[in-house]
Amino acid sequence: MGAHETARDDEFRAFTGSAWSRLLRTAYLLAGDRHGAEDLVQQALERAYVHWNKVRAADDPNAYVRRILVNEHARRFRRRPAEYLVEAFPDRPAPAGPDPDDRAVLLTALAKLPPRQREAVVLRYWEDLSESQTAAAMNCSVGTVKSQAARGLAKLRESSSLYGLTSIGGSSR
Amino acid sequence: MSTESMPAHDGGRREDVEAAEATVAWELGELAESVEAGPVPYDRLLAGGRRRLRRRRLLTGAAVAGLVVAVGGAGTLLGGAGTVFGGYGRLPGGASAGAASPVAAAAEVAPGGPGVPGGPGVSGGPGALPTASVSPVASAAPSRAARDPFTPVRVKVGEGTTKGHALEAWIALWPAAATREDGLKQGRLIGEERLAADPRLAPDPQQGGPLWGPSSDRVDIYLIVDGKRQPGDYVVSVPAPGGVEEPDTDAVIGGVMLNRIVGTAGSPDMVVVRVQPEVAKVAVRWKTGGSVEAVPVGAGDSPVHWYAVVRRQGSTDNTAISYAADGSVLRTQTTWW
Repeated sequence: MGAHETARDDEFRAFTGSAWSRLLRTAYLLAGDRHGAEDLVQQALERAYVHWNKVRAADDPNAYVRRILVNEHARRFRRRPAEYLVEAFPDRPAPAGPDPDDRAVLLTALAKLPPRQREAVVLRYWEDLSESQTAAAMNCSVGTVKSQAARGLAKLRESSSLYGLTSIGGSSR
Repeated sequence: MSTESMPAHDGGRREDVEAAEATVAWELGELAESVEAGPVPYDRLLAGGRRRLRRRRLLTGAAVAGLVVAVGGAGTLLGGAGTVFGGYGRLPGGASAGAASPVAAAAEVAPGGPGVPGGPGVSGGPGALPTASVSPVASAAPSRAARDPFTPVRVKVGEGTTKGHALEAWIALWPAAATREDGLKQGRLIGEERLAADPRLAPDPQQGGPLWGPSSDRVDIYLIVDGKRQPGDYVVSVPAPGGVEEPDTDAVIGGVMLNRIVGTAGSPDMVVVRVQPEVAKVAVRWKTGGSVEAVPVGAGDSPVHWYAVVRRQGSTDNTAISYAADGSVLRTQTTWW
């Protein structure tokens, strides 16, 4: 391996070390499970490696790779919709009432959202991106982000299983 | 979080939505933080990335070759395409040729930034790095005859200290070689310099170097610590005056780490960053507080300029703000270093 490749590897390692945990957590919210999240991040970082010159030259390398991650997530849904668009996790029954494990409740509710709504919700409310930043990450217009995020949020609030949303911040209706 | 999409007259609903947004944000945060990140699978990521890169290069080479065949079809053009197949345009040929020492007299030292921390100095280079007069960076393209592909132009782009060591970042600009044969010779000269600085360097016919092209200069970026050139340099291809970017490069590169002696792979001591010639000054604001300024310089007539700073250890995701000569902000970049 030449010095050029070695330098690329060194820089890539440095970047990955700082970005890994954040990317994995975002991917977890998008994919809904640990295995899917790791696979998603792996694919995104491999693509980042290939286009490393563009990543390192970007105004915000983290935003650049996050966009790759979201694109990869969207691409998977386009290719395999039947595998992902499920009403609920088959191995996790919907809670009958207030669930002490709010995380599982939210994860189930997230899984019910269409992928673009899920991306908008995760990027807006977990990554805390602005509408324009979210639009850049999703490669869509700000208007689309507004509508997708609003619909996603409304569906989360309407979810009968999402009792956690009414316990903080008052009534959801 | 913005609620600018909500109608202003519906205050109660807005509050309701804001509360739901805050709750969702909090719940998502809890959910995400419950994920144990674990160790980063560097080896797996690098293996996957390299595999994709090889595949992409093969596909690119095949596409270029196909295009050349389709457009030209002549034997001379086919020869050029073969270069692409033979390693993404890198130089074939032996590195062990016993040519004379390539270290030639330096042409000039670019203007420094007086009083600018981390900026380029005007002092002469150590040892085998002779310096000449301080002269402004030329922006006009000189005649081809004025550019000697076998005589690099050396410029110190930044200096500083860390852990008691004096660091200097230098670049050696090797002007574009007009022919493939001259490109091969130039590659050997660069390789011999690199080998002299790092005897452990494995003989590599490609010298780890970038694409050769008649419109591309090569730039060897290296670190001098306490007066001695260090191994772990970085050779890149940049457009010669009037040239265009080679594939797989960007108009602006994010930074090259120079760290092999006192730093670690993930924590470089010094970075050299390529900028556009319009950039007159760069201010780096450290995430952990404080800032440093640097003045980019160019080598010879190269349209590509560079600056260097000594990193602040432990501070990543810093902000680099590029200013034009009139003080206007040209670009704000979050650095990976």
